[in-house]
Amino acid sequence: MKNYQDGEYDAFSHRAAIPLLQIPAAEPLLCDANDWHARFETVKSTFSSRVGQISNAALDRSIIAYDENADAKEKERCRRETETLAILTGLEIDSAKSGIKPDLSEYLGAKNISRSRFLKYKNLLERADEPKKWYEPDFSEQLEAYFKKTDWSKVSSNVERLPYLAYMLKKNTPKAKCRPAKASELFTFAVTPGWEKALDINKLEKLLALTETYTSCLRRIRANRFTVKDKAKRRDIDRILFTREEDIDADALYALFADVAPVRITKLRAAIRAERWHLMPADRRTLFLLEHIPELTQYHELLSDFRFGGYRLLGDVVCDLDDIYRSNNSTRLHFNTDTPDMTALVNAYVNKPLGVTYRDAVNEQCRVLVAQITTLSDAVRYVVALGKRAFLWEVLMQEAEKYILKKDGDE
Amino acid sequence: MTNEWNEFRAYTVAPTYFCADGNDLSFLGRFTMNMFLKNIGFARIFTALARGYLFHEPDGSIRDGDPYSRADYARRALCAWCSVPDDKKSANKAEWKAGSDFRTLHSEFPELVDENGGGWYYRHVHAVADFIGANLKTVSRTVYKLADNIGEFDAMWRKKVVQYQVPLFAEGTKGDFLMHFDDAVADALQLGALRCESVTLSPEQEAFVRSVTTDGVPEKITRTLAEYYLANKTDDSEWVLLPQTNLDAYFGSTAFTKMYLPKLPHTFMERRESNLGVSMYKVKFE
Repeated sequence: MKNYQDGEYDAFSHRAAIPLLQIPAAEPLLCDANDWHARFETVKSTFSSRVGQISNAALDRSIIAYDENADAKEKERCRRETETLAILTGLEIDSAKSGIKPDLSEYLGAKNISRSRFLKYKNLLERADEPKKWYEPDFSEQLEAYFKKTDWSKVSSNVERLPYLAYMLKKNTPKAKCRPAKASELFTFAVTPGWEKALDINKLEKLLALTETYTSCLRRIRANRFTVKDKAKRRDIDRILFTREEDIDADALYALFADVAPVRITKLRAAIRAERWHLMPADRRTLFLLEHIPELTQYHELLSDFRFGGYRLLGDVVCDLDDIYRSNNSTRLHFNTDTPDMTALVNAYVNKPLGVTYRDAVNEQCRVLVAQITTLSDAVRYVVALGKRAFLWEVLMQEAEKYILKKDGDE
Repeated sequence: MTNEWNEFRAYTVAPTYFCADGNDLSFLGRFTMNMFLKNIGFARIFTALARGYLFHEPDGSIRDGDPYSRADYARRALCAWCSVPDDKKSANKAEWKAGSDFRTLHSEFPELVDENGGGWYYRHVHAVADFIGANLKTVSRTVYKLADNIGEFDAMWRKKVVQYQVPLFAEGTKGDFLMHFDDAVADALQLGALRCESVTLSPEQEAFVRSVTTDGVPEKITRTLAEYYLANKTDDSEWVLLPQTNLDAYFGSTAFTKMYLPKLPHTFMERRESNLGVSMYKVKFE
């Protein structure tokens, strides 16, 4: 261990020649391997290392020790204690082998040095995602309180001020506003006023339709890629079956209803709610089931047993399946009413080769479609006139580059 | 614990707030701090309330007529019990949204909700918090948390009450294990009238319980578990659902689940655990 404090460390002084500090290992504590209690204690102490606590205590002290504005005497004391704690860390690690734990009572637990604000901040951030109880302030409130509680003008250590500076920086930085440059500042063809008038209205309309198809195709693909959590009520079903000691499990129950057509599932769900299945007297339940799911007669008894929340079995399965069918519908890629362009774009995603991103695949197909309307370089003018900048950069980047207006100083 | 009518009364009659010393938590009523702070154990409370209003006259005698026709009445009783007075923010919300202030039910359930919309539970929680505030020196420090945070309670409970009213099997409800008033009413109809007398053990059963009760576990706990088992055992199963939170509330503190339950000997009872948030038990009567 070396001390780097000003004036005390000099590479050419005799002190530099002193070898690094060597701490003799503690005499190991010998225990009888057949004594089960001693074994247990050994294992326990191996897993109860206090290195983390020592490090925190050392950081608290080092913040004062290396704070240029702190009181000199206090600085010196904290510096020594930080060094002692560094040695104690070594002893604590050794204790896993020797069985002898260093005495830390002077440093841990005693509150003579207050916890560093930096550690408090770190702790706060680490617990940001933990769900909060209703009686606890939420993360933003805690953070607000943390910054409010302290008079930051009196905090002299820079490490401690760091969270505050970051917070103020974020607070005082205005949000960047998006101001797209005018077309005349970007493209060579747009310099002359009235350039849009020369464009073919027919091509303009076709390209407008294509850009819209392109956007809705991407939206459809994103919805398809996002998978919903299905069978949300499986646990509830398992719980009911567990308390009733039934042989059947939730998966088997879902499988039973798999053959019932989606339309009938939706109808059944509506009927469950309209006729208030959960409040139905026992004698009417079988009739209800016979009307809606006659093919599952052998399970009617299971489903109409309402003990331990049994009314939820039918409802849970039907609701889950209905939700799955609905989400399948909303994540469908092809619809009968699609235009040929839409079908082509979606197919580009469906048949995309491995390793190609869905955007690249759709963009490539879109270029083919643009080429059917007009040449790719010509299309740049139309897309700029339509104001579809995102489409331009995504699909026609190569062609657009040719028209970029170069200013003095640009290469 | 086996006299369910008494349990119903514990949730509907105005409690007296008294605390003898730091170990006395009786001023919480038939609740624990965990129930107040974590909103747990309400399924059983709601079911008990619904059974009381479906099947009983105010004096405890059985009501005439078809209980199924009173399902909506029982649901209204639950709304009244849970009612929270509106504040400025919640009073102005759209009409179609579920409310949480049921002062209109005061004439139907004067014992459950007052004319200002304060439901029984709302008044109880505030009374407990006030009691803690007034008796800081006597009460245990463990309850300070409720009094310290009572300002947050109304907003939280308002949200819960709206959640409880979500109809069963409604579209767009994602969470499972959510409690609905519909569940409570359906369970109540299934369970039938409340038991109005306690179940007592036969001399042989009494002797068995005494013989298996080990040191460190009060006999009240083993006896109550044995009685509850007898009272709720069905013919087709030897297992009975263990309502841990509500047993804690009955015994007066969470010592039951935390200290005594793990200590109960296998000669007395066996448990069937699951990772589904419920556990079953059976008492091994000789």
